[in-house]
Amino acid sequence: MLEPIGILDSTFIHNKNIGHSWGYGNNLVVFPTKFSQSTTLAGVPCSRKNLFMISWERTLYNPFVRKLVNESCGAFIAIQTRLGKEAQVSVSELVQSSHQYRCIINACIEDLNQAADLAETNEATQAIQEMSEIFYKAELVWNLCEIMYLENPLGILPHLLEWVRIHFPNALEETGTVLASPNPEFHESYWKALYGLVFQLRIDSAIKLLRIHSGFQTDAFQSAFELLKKMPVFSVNSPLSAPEFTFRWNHWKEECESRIHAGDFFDSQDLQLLMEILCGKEEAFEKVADFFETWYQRMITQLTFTHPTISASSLGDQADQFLAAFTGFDDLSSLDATLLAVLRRDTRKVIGEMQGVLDNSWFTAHLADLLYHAGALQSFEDINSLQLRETLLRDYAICLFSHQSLWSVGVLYLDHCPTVGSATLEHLLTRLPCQSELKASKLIALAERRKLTSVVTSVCRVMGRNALKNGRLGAAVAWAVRAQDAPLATYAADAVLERYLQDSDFTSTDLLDSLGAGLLASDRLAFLGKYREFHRLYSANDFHSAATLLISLISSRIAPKYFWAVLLMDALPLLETNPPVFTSDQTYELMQSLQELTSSFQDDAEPIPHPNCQLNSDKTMLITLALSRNLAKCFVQQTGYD
Amino acid sequence: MVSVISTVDTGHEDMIHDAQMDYYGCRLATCSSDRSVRIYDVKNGTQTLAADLRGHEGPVWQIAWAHPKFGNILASCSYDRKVIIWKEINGQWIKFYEYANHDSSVNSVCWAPHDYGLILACGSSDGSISILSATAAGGWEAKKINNAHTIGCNAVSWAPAIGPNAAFDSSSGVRSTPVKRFVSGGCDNLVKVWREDKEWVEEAKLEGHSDWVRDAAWAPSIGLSRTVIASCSQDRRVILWTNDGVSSSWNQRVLHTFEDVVWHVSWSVTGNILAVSGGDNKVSLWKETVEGQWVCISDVNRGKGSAPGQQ
Repeated sequence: MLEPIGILDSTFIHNKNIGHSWGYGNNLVVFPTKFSQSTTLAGVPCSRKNLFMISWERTLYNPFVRKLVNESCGAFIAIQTRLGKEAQVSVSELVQSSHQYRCIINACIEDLNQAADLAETNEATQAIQEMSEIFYKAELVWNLCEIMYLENPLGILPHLLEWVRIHFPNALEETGTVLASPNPEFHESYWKALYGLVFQLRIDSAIKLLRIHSGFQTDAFQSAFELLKKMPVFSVNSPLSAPEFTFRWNHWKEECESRIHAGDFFDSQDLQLLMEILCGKEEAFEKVADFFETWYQRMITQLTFTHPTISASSLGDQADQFLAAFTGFDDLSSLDATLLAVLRRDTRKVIGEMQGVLDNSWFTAHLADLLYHAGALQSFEDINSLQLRETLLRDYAICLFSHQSLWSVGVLYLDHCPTVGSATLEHLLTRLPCQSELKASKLIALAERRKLTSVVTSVCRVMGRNALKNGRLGAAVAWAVRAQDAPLATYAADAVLERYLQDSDFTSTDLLDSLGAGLLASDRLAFLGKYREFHRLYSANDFHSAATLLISLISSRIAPKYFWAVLLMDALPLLETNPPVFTSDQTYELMQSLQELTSSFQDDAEPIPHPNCQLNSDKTMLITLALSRNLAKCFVQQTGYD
Repeated sequence: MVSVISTVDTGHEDMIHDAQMDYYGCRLATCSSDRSVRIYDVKNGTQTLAADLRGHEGPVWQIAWAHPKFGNILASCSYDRKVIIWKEINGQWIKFYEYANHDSSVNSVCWAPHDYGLILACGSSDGSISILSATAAGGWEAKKINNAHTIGCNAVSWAPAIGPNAAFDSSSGVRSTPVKRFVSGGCDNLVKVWREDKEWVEEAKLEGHSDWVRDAAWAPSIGLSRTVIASCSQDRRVILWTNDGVSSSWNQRVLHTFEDVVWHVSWSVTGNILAVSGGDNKVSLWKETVEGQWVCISDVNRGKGSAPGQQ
């Protein structure tokens, strides 16, 4: 077993040495190996030499999570757009965004749970359930962050209680079970359910449950009922100010305590315990300690009955104490550590903890962005908060870039990283394999919009090479021009000329003719363009212009020498016209090039050129003859003018 | 959650020493003690053998892909003291260049950032490092750093071409010509940084390991001025060396002390994750958190802790 990745393969048992190498994105190739670079090289006798491709952070690639990726991107962009218009986003708007993110997470959890039910194998179900759990934890932490960072720090406890109500639905579930039983008051969980309702301040439900008890009419029950009904509750929308509430609360508590002392509940231990809980007595909570699943559930419940108006700033210390008493700090799970950090409002720790766990880049990126806009990241002294936000957004974008289609979402996040975004995008875009023209065009459009010229060049160059390899020469030329890659353009233009020699026809001419100024990317390409023009002029019977162009191609030396023979043969029909289209000077020019060609050809050690490029004695004779005849015609014509 | 997405039976007849994915992650090259280099096309989780390159006369230690803008080019180095540069032309792999100017096993090859052209650094057991550059005329030119590491050089890794202040440069569209640098590690327990200054000069000597340095990897630093080098050694430690991009001093920090010799360190494409493997039968992934802590993100025990209401 290769740890900690968990590959079960016998090859790893025989060999403890592991080699690895990176793939694109979150992929790694691992293999058993031997590193000893000494002379002894007896390999472990093992028939198969296997490699393993491993990958991580794949949760976001799951089809059921796709909606979360897309919708959260929408929410993210909405915040950034609002910021573009206004200098600052108000807290209430941020709370709204936070709600939106949580709705997206919850929808995703629901989709995953449904998918888990429909999965065909146990393994698949388990894998989806694990994913669902990741998002469940994310939502739990996110919600707490929303309360601690975005809500009014004075009335914090009602929010926390709401958080507990949402995430610990067991109180209601238990009540349901009790009520569904034939004789609820004798159900073993009757009192546990009742306490559970009281813990979450679901007083109305608690009273209903109390009413169905056969002893409800007794004095003890009536007294408890009255106190429960009178209990002042500090709520988010309470019209009472904190001191006013505290006054009433203390008064009510005194009454509870005096009734306990008066022995009102002497007959029922269960009621006695209920009253002690209401009074926030530590011993009472000790007795029901087992009813709490987590330290934070107990903390928030207990504080509700001891310090209902506690401020956010005191929560950190309380959390320390409760956690120490409940589980201790050894073996703290990442989730506990994160929640503790949130309660302490230790933002760096919150993000650091979540960052340390795989598959959380979605969470850290979006949360950090929200906290950044809320000003909550400012608490870091040595790290610039903007930089921190950027690092996290970038990590998320990198994760998206590892997927064949999600990368385009990643681009949108990098757009909002002012310092490293552009460089990262440049790096990542050039590494995306572009198998199709469509994808290449998409990449180029993206890069051009962001002024990433190197990406454009790189994509064009790679596409040009591919086109060349596949024999699509016109496309190769076009890509080379776009890349402004002169050597590649020359190479492609040569290939086009070579094919012309073979087929005596130009392929993909329309592409070439549409290049316009792009033809200037290389001399060879410029020649190709001009040569095409020569053909056009010729077929349009504009022999004078065609002749002049042909001469200029040779005299300017823009035509590659290997192609001169072809040009001279092209001149043949023009030389035969009467009256002549070549002037005497032009004819001399042609004669000179013919001479240069015949004298230089022998010492050329180049590989054997295409037959059309070779000047054999027949061709030479033919051209020489035509040249002399043309010269003669020129003289006759000139004499005529004279 | 780390999962195995595919298994490749390489068909090698002896131990595999290196495996490298190409620039786009579409091709995989492997090399082995059976003296061969193999190339596979990787598509949708399946691999097909595309080439079996024979030419070395000893175990092949390492391979490296050149940037695709130069075409499909692969370098390999071997116990036979040779470095071979292979090139695919019209679907056929040919021996493009063979360099045989080392006196002992060549242990490591690494291509320079593509911005510099086609340049390869090779580290050898003879203690020297060769730098091979393709010339405009189509040939190759070699420079050699003799006695780079006493007893032997085990690893070479180039610094990214995008130097400090890259963020400013890219926004203005102007790029300054960066200085060529690479790092090497050797049997003298040292990690050395080299700079090209007409000739290659030793710019920094990083002392920290107490046994042979087995690998060194220069982190890609995208848009950041800070540079990081990771090195690993037979002393079972991985050390991270950081330079702020302004001063000439390097700070060292031990990432972790492992249970056995650490043979290999490498950075992800974007430099945000470091992978470490060695003789302890483990591969681990490390990442720096915002707290400045390097944490092992592949540790399966982290992230456990059940959520309420999910039991």
